[in-house]
Amino acid sequence: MLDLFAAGFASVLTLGSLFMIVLGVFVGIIFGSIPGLTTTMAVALCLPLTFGMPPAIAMSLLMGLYIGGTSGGLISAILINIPGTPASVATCWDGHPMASRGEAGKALGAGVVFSFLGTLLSIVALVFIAPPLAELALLFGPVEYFALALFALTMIGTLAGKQLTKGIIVGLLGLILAFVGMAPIDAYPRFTFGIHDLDGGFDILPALIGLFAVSEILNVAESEFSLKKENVLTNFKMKGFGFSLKEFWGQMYNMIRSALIGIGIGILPGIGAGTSNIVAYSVAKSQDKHPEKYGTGCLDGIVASETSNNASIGGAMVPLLTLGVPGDTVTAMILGGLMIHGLTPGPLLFIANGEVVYGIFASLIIANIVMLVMEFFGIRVFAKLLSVPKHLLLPVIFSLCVVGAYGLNNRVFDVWVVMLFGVIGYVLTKLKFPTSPMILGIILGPMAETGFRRGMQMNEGSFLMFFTRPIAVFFFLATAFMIVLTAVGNAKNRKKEGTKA
Amino acid sequence: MKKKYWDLASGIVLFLFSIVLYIGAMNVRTLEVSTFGSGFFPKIVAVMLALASLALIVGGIKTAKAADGAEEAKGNPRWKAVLATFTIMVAYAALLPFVGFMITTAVYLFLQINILSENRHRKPFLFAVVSIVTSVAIYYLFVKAFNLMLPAGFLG
Repeated sequence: MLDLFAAGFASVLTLGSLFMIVLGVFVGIIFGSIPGLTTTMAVALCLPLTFGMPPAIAMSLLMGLYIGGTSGGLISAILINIPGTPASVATCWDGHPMASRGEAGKALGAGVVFSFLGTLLSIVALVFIAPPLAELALLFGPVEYFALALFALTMIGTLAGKQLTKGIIVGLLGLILAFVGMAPIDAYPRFTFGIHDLDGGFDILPALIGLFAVSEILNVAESEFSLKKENVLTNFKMKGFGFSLKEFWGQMYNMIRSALIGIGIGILPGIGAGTSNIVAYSVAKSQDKHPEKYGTGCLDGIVASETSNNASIGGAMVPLLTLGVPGDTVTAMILGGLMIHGLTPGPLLFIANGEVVYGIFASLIIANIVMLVMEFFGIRVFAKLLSVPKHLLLPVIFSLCVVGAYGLNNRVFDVWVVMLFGVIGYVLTKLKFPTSPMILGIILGPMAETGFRRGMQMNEGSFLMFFTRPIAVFFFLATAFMIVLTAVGNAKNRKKEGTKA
Repeated sequence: MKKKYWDLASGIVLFLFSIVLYIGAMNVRTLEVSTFGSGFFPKIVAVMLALASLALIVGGIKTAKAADGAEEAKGNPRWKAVLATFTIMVAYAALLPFVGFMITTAVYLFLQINILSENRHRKPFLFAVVSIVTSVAIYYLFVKAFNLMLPAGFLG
């Protein structure tokens, strides 16, 4: 493993790669910190830059964006009380009260340091979990992949939260959109309406760009939000990291617990930093002897939120690299990025392209250090950038979306796909449907269907084989467990609301 | 339509869609003679969608009853701006292959920035400069530095 690591570092320690990491972290922090722009969007927009690059350099850029974007949200969360991305929702709760008390420097310092530590711990976890898991995944046949996809689809229940029915519907719509194009196994086109551009189905990237970037522009056009001048606190002092060594050691236990929560939630398919920061915050609060201090500006809340959201990065990379199942929306984009370079994530990636995998590990480590340095010294610059007017920013972002979609296959058709998904995303948000379950449907649908039909072919149409393979049985049981858990949780929620009303 | 009927209406639309999907799935061409052809998964998903949309309809009827009379009028969504944005986006994509990236993008940017900004913040000259500079910069950045193809149109 050590020699692979050395090779990985060697591939990243070139001028080109290092420059891309720095650029990625910088752009990532900007997208992370400006509310309305997300990490997913940053990756989507920068993907066309990577089309002409060697894979190692392309991946360094994407890893920089991922880490910068996930951490950057803390800046606006603390300074203007609006989370820059969903990953920093819980950072607002204690970060802003602290900043309004005049301790913005301390809040930012803690956020930055614990983002760094969270990422670091999760990279360690990634490096130790991914290779053995990839080896195990080599044993996976179609039946196992079908079972895995089924299990991953149950995460829709977690993603949808209280709107279970709507989440399921959106997930199903994702499955339906993935049907379009050539069917697996027999390769007859279905649901293409005779349009030959649709024979290959919808590409993942234009679909994601539409869902997460274009729909946002339509949303802003509708609201007055873009026109308000944000109230940015800029008169803060940064002295060191703002907190004492004693305070740091006091957070040790909280940090490790939050990192573990972040890594675990990251590994689960489809859910990532957007969920983990809230979970880690509420766990920290419920386990504390003084839960009443949360929300008034206590360090513990910031530590829980910022450690866990960044810890989801390493977690989310685990299923992406070993199984080809993205751990969250950003890794779904990265999945598309890998495929453009002819790299199919999955256990074989570790054998055929080991240097790329270890290059990714190395980029993550370097990007993490760059993030720490850049946010520490450049926090004022990023704070200033928060007031860039949105009416200038969003149109430029849309034209970059168009560039990305067109550049994918050199056809205008993909630009239309972006707009179609933009409208779908907009209408869904308008009708109060969550949009993220759709990605799970689009990516996992073909995996489930191919696995099922191949398995059936291999076993000559007998269902029995599905229950004789231990790994598949494990995933089926896990699926059943998740369904029961979601159903019980949903029933409890209803009861609670019933007693309230 | 009033907001409280949205769930009910989307449930009905989705239910009808699931029927259409099922019929479409019955006509999917498939190679195998077995029951699990290319139409099998679409059929299952259609049935699940039908069930889920029925649940949405039931829930929608409840919320419509519960919210009786208490219709909140919060903020005025700027439908005109949304419609205008959508229109110029469509025009942008349609004209792209014929007029080329640089010109369509500059025009799109100028119009879009004007739509998104309020009257009193409008600075036509600044907006025009931003639009043209951005469009030219993106074109040369991607075509020259990143080896990407972009439609050049009649300029190319």
